[in-house]
Amino acid sequence: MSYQEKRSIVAIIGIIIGLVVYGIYVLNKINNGNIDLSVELNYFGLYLLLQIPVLVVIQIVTKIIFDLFNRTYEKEEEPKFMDEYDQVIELKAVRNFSWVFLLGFYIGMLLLALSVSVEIVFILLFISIMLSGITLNASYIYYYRRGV
Amino acid sequence: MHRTFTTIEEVFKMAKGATSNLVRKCRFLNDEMTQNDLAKKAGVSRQTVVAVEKGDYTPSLELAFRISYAFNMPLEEVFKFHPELVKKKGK
Repeated sequence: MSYQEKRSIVAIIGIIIGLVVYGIYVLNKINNGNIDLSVELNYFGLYLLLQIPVLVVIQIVTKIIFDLFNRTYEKEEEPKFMDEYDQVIELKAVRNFSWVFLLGFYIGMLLLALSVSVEIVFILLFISIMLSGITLNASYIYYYRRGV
Repeated sequence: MHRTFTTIEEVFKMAKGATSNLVRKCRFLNDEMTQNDLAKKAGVSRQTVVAVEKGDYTPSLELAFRISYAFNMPLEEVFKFHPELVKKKGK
C-alpha cells in the first residue's frame, strides 16, 4: 500500500471520529442552550462555518500523527514532491469533493424551499461537509489503486 | 517478482487507452534498471513509474520524452499508439 493510500485511510478515520465528536458537541449545545435554529440563524451559520476549520485541523493533526508513525515504524519518508500523476489525482479528488458538497448544498436548499425544518437542513449540510471530506480521501485511495 | 511481457499483444491489453508502453522491457534491457532509478532519472516518483508501467496512467508528452531519454531510446520505441484501439476503447 502506498504512502498516499495509507495517509488517506488515516484521514478518513480522523474525519469520522473528529466530526462525529464535533457534531455531538454542537447538538448538545443546541439542545442544552435551547437554541432554536430557525429563529437564531446566527448559530446555524456559526456552527457550519466552524466545521471547516475543524475539518482542516483534523486533517493536519492526522497527517502529523500518521507521518510520525510512518517514519518510526515503517521507515517510510513523505514524498518530497508532487509529480504530474499526483496532480491529476488531486484534481480528480477535489472535483469529487466539490460534487458531493454541491449535491448536499442543493438538496439542503431544496428542502428549505419545501419548508422542511431548519434543523434537518442543518444536519444535512453538516453531513454533506463530512461526506465530502471522506469522498476527497476515498478518491485518493481509489485513483492511486485504479490509476487515472 | 516482476513480470516480463512476452508478446506485444499482452502489453496492448494492459493499456487503458490507445497507448501502450514497453517500459518494463526497456528497464530489463538497461541492466535491470530499478523502478526507483528510472523514477530518479525521469524526475517523478516510483509510484508514477509503476502506474505508467502497468498502463494505469498515460503520461504527459514531456514525461514520455523524459522516460525514453532515460533509456536513451526514441519515444516511439518506448511508447506506442494504437489507432485501432481508439474506436474500441472510445478514446
